[in-house]
Amino acid sequence: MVDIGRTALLLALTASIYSSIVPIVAIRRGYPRFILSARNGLLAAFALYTLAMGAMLHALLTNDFSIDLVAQHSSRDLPVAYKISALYAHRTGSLFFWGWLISLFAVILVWQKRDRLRDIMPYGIAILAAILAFFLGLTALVGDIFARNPFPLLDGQGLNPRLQNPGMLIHPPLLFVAYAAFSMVFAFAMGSLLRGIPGSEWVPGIRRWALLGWCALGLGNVVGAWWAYGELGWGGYWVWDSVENASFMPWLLATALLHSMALQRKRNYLTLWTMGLIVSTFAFTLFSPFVTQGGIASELHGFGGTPIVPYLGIALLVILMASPGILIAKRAQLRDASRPSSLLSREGAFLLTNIVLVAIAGVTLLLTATPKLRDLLDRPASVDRIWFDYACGSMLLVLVFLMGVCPLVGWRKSSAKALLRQLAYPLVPCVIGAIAVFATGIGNWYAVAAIVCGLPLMTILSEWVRGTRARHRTKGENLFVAFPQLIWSNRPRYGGFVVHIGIIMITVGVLGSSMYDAEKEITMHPGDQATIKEYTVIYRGLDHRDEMVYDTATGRPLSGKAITEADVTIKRGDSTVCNMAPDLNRWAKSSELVPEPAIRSTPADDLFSSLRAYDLGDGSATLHILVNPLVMWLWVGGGFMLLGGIIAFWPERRQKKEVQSITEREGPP
Amino acid sequence: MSFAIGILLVIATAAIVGYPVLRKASSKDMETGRAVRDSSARREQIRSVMEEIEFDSEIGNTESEQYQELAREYRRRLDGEEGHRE
Repeated sequence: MVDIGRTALLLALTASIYSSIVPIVAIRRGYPRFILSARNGLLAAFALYTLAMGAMLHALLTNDFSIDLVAQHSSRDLPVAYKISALYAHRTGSLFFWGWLISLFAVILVWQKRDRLRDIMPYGIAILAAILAFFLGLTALVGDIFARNPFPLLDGQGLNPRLQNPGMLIHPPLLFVAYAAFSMVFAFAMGSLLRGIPGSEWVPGIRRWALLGWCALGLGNVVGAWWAYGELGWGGYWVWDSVENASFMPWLLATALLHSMALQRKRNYLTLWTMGLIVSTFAFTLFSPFVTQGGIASELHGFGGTPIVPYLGIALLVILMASPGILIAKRAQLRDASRPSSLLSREGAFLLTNIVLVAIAGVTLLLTATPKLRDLLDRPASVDRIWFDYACGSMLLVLVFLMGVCPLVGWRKSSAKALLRQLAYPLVPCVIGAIAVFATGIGNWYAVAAIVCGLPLMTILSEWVRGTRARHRTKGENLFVAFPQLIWSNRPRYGGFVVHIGIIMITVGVLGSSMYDAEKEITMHPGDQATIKEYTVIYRGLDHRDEMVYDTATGRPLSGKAITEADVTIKRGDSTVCNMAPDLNRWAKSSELVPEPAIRSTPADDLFSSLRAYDLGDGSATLHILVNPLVMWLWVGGGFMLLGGIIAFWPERRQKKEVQSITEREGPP
Repeated sequence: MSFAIGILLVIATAAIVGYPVLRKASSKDMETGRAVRDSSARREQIRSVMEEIEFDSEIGNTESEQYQELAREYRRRLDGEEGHRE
């Protein structure tokens, strides 16, 4: 199977190189049949890539430890789901999986848009095939995904215990789905630009691909934070690590992109800016593996320097140098068809939001790259997390506030008086709420949250109330029918509003958990008590269970883990809040001790306990205890982002109907 | 066995890629490079924007004067698309 997989991969590479060159020659020479041949080349590349993927999955599921990837990241006792995930736990395997998604999406896109974007197709095929060829080259030639293990093993080294978490089954695939979707957006935007088609014609065609990428990346980041929080044992979910930032930056740019696409679609405005964002978002998706593969050191996770890094760096340079050249050459085509009469307009507010988003991404990039740049100058230095908190955190608060202002500004031109009138209704209750919070002394940051997060929330609720009433008035709908009908009538807009509610929840969660958290690391003996905030922590003792399977001949551990569990009771006053059992595990296939924190979550706060060290002799344990307020709202907010994304992504039924009726009248196109 | 499958894969790939070049050209093939104007989708898009600005005006987000200008602009665009369709 391995030889078949390798042959299929090399053939897929050949087919994709063919499909990346032939359409361009065919257009210039006027050979349309060769464009169809190139399209078939892309289909063949997908089929061959899928065959190679099948061969690799077969090797993983049948424990073929003669393959390096399987031997390094899988083992006989690994559950099936994690055996499959071992594919992208490997440095080349992650690119292999991502490349396969690109080939799958390319086939879907080419098939889906075969008529609608037919004139863009040759260029789109060429660019998609070139991207695919790059990934195939990396996985088949540079990284050699099917590399043989020189020392045949009876069992593999297994998957890192920290990766044996449901997060591993969700977080990386979501990021790869997002990155592959952004490749589709880039290929067809560039294709349309090269073909000379104005933005108003191609933006609607790829909006949903951009939305898919944005949604998957946002959800992937939230799941990544949830995974880090529940698995890593330090009680946090985000440390501005280079790997985290590498997936955060494209999300920021994609957020800006979706807003500028909406503006482009509605008002034919910001075409050049939209194109710039498409290029930047795609470039940042390549920056992500550049960081993960060791291009920039990460304290959290990554592969720590692989031969793939220079190739990713070259690809990034090519995109960053060639794309602006194309944009400049085609600038006449990217001229806006309309301009707002004033910057105090919905268009101006969208532009400001875009600028803030790009600024956050720029500052994050600068701070992330600073250690690497200092290394190159032989002046090593690290960037403290606090710089990120101050620089990016403050701009994110401005952004959330803007979410409340944007919907209140009218299209084309507004006046300060009209804006103030619109702002007054939602802002007054927020200011009253903030003063009340300030007066009660709960916390000044909560007062800030009451204004910053309260305004967009009130704006959304106010628009929903006014919209529902308007429908009730004009269409005679019952209020309970009018509201869902309102949401369904303009899914991109109200899906976006639901996403905004998710972002508000996440902001509240971040503010609460980062400004008002409390932590203690204490060594306790059975019966000892400690106090943290209003809680009393009572340590009762240790429980040790050895669940390892040993080799009967050598006594060497083969699989399983030895679990040491602390018994902790948390009380508030006289009443017991919960019992917690944080673990510290020694895995047979890992030399390090891996903590399994215990978390009790409520909407008000999280109680987090992690066992850092223990002594079975005297039964003492070193416990890391945290009280993290409002963390749950991060995950709920992630759910709202997903829901809003689905609403906005849902296809427009009316359009289908009209196309259908036109087809019935006029016959097929 | 692997060698034979490899040869088969090469032949199958060559056949799939080469088929459009070798078969007799149809008129549909010749259309490939032609711009296909999806006018119905654009009309639908303009209508949805018109509905949105109308709604913005109804709930007071867009001032009446701006709404009138926008409505005129989109009506012009829609008429242009309708004309193109005819």
